[in-house]
Amino acid sequence: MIVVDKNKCIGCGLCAKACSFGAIEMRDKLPTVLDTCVFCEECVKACPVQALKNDSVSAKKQDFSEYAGIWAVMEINHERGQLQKVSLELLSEAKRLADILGEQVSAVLLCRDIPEDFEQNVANVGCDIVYIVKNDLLERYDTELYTSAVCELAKQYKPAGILFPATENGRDLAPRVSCRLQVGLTADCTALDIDEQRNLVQIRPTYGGNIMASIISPDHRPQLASVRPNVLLVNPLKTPADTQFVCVDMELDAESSKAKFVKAVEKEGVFRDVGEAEIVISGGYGIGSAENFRILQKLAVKMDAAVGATRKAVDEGWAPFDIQVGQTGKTVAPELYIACGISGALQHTIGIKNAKHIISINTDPAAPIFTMSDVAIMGDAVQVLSRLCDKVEKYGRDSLLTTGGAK
Amino acid sequence: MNIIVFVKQVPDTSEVKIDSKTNNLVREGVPSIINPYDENGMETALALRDELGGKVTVVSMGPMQASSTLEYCLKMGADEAVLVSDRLIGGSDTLATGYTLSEVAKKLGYDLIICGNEAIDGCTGQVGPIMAENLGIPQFTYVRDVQVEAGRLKVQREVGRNIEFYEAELPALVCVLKDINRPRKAEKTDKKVRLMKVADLDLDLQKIGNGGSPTKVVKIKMSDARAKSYVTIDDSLSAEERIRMIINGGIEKKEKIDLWRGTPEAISDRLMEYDGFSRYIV
Repeated sequence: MIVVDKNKCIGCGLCAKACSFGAIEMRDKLPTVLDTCVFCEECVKACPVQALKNDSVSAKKQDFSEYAGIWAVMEINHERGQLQKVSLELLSEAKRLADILGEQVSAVLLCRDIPEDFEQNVANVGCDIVYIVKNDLLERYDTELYTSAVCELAKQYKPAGILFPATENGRDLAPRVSCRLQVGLTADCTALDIDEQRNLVQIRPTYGGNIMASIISPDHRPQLASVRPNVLLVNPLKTPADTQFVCVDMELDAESSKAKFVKAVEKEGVFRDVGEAEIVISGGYGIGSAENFRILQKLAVKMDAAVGATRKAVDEGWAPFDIQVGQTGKTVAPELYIACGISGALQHTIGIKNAKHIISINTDPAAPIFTMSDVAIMGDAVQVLSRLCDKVEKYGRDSLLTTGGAK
Repeated sequence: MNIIVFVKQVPDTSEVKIDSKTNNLVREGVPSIINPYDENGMETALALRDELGGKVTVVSMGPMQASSTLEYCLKMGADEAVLVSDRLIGGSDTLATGYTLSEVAKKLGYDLIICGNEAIDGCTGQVGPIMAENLGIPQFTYVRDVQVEAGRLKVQREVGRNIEFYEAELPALVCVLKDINRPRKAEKTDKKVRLMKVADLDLDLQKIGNGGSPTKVVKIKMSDARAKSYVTIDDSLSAEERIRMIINGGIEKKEKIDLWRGTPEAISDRLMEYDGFSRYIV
């Protein structure tokens, strides 16, 4: 814990001011470190008389010279036999990081069948090596089998860092791998970097998006991080890389998996995947009711858009959780984002940073959402939307008539 | 059936404020609540117990004040509550927390462990899977339905557009979503929270607390997601609106912000003609 040398302390209170977490209280001119301390050591750095220190014993420095390269774990849509876009987002970022380190970038592919256009896709973003474990047992995601496979590869080839997709299955897999390898893992990073000591710097929002924390695992390798879909951009190279494919033979024991897959069914309901749509129409607390949410859905159908919702709207029970956009929901990067009755809490706006065009409708002229919008509409979202619905419908009918007439 | 539910006390993050002078988190006046997902975890456990019999033990790790969250769980109907609180486990990351809690689970004994899918403050969703790995039991995350039939666990996972059905023998660990149920109301109880210290557990001291945590926070920065630009106070607004904006502190102008005002009819007409909107109409 952070300890105070009472003899050295001059009671200046600079440590309490330096603490971003409000975890130091001055009591009788002495700092008291509260349980909310995260050991970032900002107070230690701020103390002018070196009266504070972190007395926690950390793991001993080890020689990590044999750990090299950044890996990205590929995610496949097994039903469609396609590589998910997030895989290339991760691989592109891994390439950038590996370039800073002067090391190689690799993709990890666990599958039964190699997805369509895989070679070309990974070569385009500069992948040096693909480690493939091909096995009938890997036909679909399984916690135990996928954990074993990733850990075996990591032990054999010793990467410096591994990036996981922060999807449902990626977030199921990564912590299990981190525990089996006994290394650090940072979830849902929004940015990554390499520091002067060649550590992977993992930047993520915390406390409802109010704070960005930079996290490293200085004494453990490999360093693990997960990143959500739509957070990173794919950066295709002018000249594709000459990718090397390494098929790794691995004994996988079907009996080791204690989870028995029975079946998968497509979810019922009208809402489409908010993470993949080109247009997202989202509603917040200002929408007012579940009834009013149907207007969003009605418009969405006419525009081939997906409906999204803020945490407040989901908490109210107006919309299901799987269309929630924000830190405790999905990150989206549509061409057009229409924010209806959304004030723009950080919790939500963190999830729409990569939206290309934002139109927002709100009755409050001081709503923070306006500051990040291309068009800010002051008005009642439900009223505007219901009129818009009729007009979009009429527009569709008219254009149909025009095309009909042209024939 | 012995069920352990792990819960976390979290600040209501929608209420977290930043002190504009010091740029630090203001904790005073921010209510502490039970992590919403964990409340659904509690309900899942209580419903299974009511159906099949057995015992629900709720466990939390954190500062002494987390006791109030456990008291709330006792009021919901938990049979026992254990608070693991010790300065030695302060500053634990998910690996150290998952390790510590898995040792608590071993000590208490369990057939089924239930967690919330993630906590709304950290949003990592890692502690559940890390516990399952330490205990060598199967895990199911993103769970929207849990049944136990003839000693066999049946769960539904929500993965993208699919619902996946799985079965497993107990013991197992599940991490539940908020959609899974509606938590019952708390009632009166005279049950008390039991305190557990590091000394009460068989822990490897190298693997706990800040020292046992591989990840280190090196830098903290207030998020700039909001600070990019502000709406200007323009004289087309009414006095009331302008006063509200001054109170809210929005004074800097975003270069390209385009504030539209008018009747819903006029605005919807204008939107239909606006290229940024109309080109998307199919």
